[in-house]
Amino acid sequence: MRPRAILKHLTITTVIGAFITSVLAASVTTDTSTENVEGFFNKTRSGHTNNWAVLVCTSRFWFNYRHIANTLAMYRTVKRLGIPDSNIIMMLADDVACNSRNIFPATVYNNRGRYLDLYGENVEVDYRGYEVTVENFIRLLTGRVAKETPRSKRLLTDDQSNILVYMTGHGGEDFLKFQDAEEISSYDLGDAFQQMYEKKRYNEILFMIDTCQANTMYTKIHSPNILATGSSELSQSSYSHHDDPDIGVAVVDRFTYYVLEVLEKIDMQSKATLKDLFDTYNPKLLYSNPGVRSDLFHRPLDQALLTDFFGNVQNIELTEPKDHSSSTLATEGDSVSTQQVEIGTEVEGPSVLQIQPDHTDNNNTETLHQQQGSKQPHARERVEDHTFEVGDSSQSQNWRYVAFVSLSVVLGGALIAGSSMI
Amino acid sequence: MRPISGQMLLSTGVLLCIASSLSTIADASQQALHVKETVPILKAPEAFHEQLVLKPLNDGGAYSHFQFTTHIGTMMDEEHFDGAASNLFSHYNLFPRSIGQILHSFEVEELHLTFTQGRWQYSDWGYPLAPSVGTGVELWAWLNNNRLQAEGNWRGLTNTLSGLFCASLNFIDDTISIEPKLSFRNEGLYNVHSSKLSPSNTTSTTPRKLRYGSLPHENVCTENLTPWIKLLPCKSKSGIASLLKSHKLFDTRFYSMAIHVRPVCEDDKCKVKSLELVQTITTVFDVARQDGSYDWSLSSLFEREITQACPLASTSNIIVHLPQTTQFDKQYELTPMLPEGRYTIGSDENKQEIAVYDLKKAYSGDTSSSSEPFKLSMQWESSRPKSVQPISPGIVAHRYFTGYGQERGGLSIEIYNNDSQDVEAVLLDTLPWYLKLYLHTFTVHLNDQLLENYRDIVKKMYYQQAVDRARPAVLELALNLPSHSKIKFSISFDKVFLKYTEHPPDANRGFDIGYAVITVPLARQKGQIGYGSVDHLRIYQGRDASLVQSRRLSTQQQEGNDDDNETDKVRIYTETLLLSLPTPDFSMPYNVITLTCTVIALFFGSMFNLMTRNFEVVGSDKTKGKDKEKKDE
Repeated sequence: MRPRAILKHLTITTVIGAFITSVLAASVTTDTSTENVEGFFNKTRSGHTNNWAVLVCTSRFWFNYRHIANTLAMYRTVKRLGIPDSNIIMMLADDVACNSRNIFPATVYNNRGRYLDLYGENVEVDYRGYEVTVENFIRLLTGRVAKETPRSKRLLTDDQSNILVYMTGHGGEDFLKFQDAEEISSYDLGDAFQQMYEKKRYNEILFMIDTCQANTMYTKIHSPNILATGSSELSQSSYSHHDDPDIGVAVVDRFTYYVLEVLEKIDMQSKATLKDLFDTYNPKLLYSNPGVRSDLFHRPLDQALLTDFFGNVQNIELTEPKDHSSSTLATEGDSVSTQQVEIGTEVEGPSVLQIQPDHTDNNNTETLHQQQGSKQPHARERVEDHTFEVGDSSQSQNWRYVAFVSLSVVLGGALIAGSSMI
Repeated sequence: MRPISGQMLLSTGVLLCIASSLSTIADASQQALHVKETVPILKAPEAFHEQLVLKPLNDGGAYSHFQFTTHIGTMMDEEHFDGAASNLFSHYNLFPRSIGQILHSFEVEELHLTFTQGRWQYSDWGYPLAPSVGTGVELWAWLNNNRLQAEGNWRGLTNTLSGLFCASLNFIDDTISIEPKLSFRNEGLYNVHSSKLSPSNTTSTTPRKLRYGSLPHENVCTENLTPWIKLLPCKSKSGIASLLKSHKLFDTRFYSMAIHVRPVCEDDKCKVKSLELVQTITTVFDVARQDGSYDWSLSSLFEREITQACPLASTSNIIVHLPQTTQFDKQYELTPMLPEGRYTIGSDENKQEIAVYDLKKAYSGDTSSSSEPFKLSMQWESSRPKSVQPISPGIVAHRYFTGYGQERGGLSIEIYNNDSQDVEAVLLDTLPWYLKLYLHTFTVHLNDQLLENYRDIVKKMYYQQAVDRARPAVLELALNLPSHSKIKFSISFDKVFLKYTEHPPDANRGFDIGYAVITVPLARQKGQIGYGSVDHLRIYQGRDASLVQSRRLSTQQQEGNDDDNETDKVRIYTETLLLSLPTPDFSMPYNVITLTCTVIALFFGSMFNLMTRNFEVVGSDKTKGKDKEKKDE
């Protein structure tokens, strides 16, 4: 063997050795935090602590009765599964219940049999009539509302909220009409979700849409942890299921009808998963090809429970007693639903909480804040790619904080010095 | 003089503000001490009264009026009674916390919110017991303007109420809010009494501001009723409120739901004051719709039954106005008929017989009887009355649009005075800015005769010019309506061409224009039912009858000094109108874009072609020659 070849071998082995050692080192460092990171390797649980639902009917006029019935049926379902009225934002573009055309005043039915009055005696409609606009919808999602806006018209979610966004109305390729007057495009929707992600306004979102060419609406979503499902493909219409001769119009849409059929069978303790729901989609019954988009969703569908989105079954968050008042409750007290349980133990450590002060004012949205927010997710994404624990990001932020403080001190000193010289 | 005095006012206001803000903390503690030691706090317990008034109507309808009254706390007499700012709301028992917090944080002294669906038919039904019956939503409030924050507070108030009652009240913004000068005087008794009863205190009159707004197009449905019921101490679980079933309430010819909050006096001399929350629901059922029969019962009207009185209520009454039949007294039968619960109120031609049922008494006995539902029904001998006394309301008003086309139009208001006396009235008309009124076209007709000089009829006139996209036009007239007369006011306007984006989604439906309000005093005798005022409830309650009378006297005395009339006036609401404005072709932008793009494409395409292509004269011989050369190669 020539010395050149030996040298070559040596360099290769050293390179490989260095690589192995570095990998080992990395594995060692990850090992220390395995307990905290478990969720990432084997992420089957949602990890959310509160549930929200945004239910939107975008259609005005009596002949769109079925869209309001769809929305109200979803409202009844999520309410039955435990999401309180305070966590449900319902937008109805028209009032069919007390419409003079309705021969059953103050009722809305989604079945010819009229077994269940969806309007009932206790209903809260948060946005109604002319208030249902694209602007209000996007403001609601992103939290950029006027300061007088009452609580019931705000989506007070945090980074541990699972949100169900259900929309129904008339739409087309990449758009959904609002009240026959304006449209929301799939780009708007994707951007709104991205803004929500940047402001840490959700943990996971299930986006469900029942409209013509519905699947095109979720194609432009690009934020993580969003699962989307729609009723029909591009260039396909979504159809109504059946009509009621007494009411005189169709009362429910096919997609919603069959989704409700599944949801009606579950209760709060149900272990049914989203896969179970999606498996029931039958194009022959729907007259259209429903779609599911799960590439942004990080959990296997057969382990994501339906009640993670439609119900209010929550994980118990374990926190240290000291942090108890200072972080979560103090900063997020407003937006956390009453069902949230906080028990002080030392199991999980404060890492989950330390991130939170960052988005204390996620509701007071300014452009500045938005720009700030847009930087954070990169850090977070990087962290997630390397499967580090969440606490790391907080450490990095600590480091940033120190750097920022020292920089500002230096700058301030320089300024003072400069001014004294002058 | 004017500007100087204005400046002085302003400066004093600013000074006051600073002074008050500086001394607030000290004052608060001092006041508390002062109160505890010198004046005994007459802490009257919170009280809740519930009442249902039923009245058969001539046209086969049944008029029902639910009234729930909650009183909270009292303060000593000398101090300025300020329901909103006082420590009244440190603890809640019966008074709904959500309302208390709203009053407190927006410094509201008096609040009136009414949701109405349908139109009150004055000529068929007479005057309602409810004070407000204008179609849509009406909100007016007297706000404390101590710190000149009334505007912001009004905005906050409308938004918060919109959240609370699931209605689009947040649409009551500056473009439709007004401040009436003569109508909607405060009904509460803040300084009217304190200034009268203790002259030393007259200087402490706080500046307050009236804000008024209405949404004629607002729907009323279950989602508005749900939060309303939640304000009641017993919800709809027991007592009279258990009759409130949305499916029946909204299946009526007229439905109105209101809350009124105001400070009131608890005794004759107004030493004890309290904050009163009155919740009312007024409906007109169409009893005769099904089979033509005028018979009704509680269960047929409401499809619910009362099985117990609300345990938290101090009084719980059902009152039936007995029909005034002209010929025979025994045309109908009311069951159960309690001889001791039958009264005659009023006198002479305004006499009214009522039957009073005390639910507290009915359910005070042993528990076995309390499960029995309370049954009340009225049966007519021949399923409907043979003859009824016609209703002739004194003042009736109508309003309508005149003219045609989409460019201009006119507005007419007709007021009929059927009384044998002249009546002083106030007319308030608010028109949105997209109607451009021309004041010089204002004319008055008396009995179809055009009046050149209408000074005898129109005593005072306030007119606020509309500002585009900023404030509405307001026309407020103090009128003297001659007896047995018909007066017609007319005014012309131009219709504004709105911007493309200012149209609502259903633009072709038209724009709802709210009602005009006519405030008239009703000649009332002692003990007569107070129409158009929540005070009528006190008439039925023996303990308060004298109080109402004394209040009336004191306010009448007040009127001697001031034109600012306050109580015992009935408000008559005219029809809401639908105005069609010229609507653009909403597909126009797309057409324009398409057309422009086509033109540009054609132009650009041809220009591009012209500029990039190399034109040569191609001779047929040459090409042949070239071809040959190629072949040769």
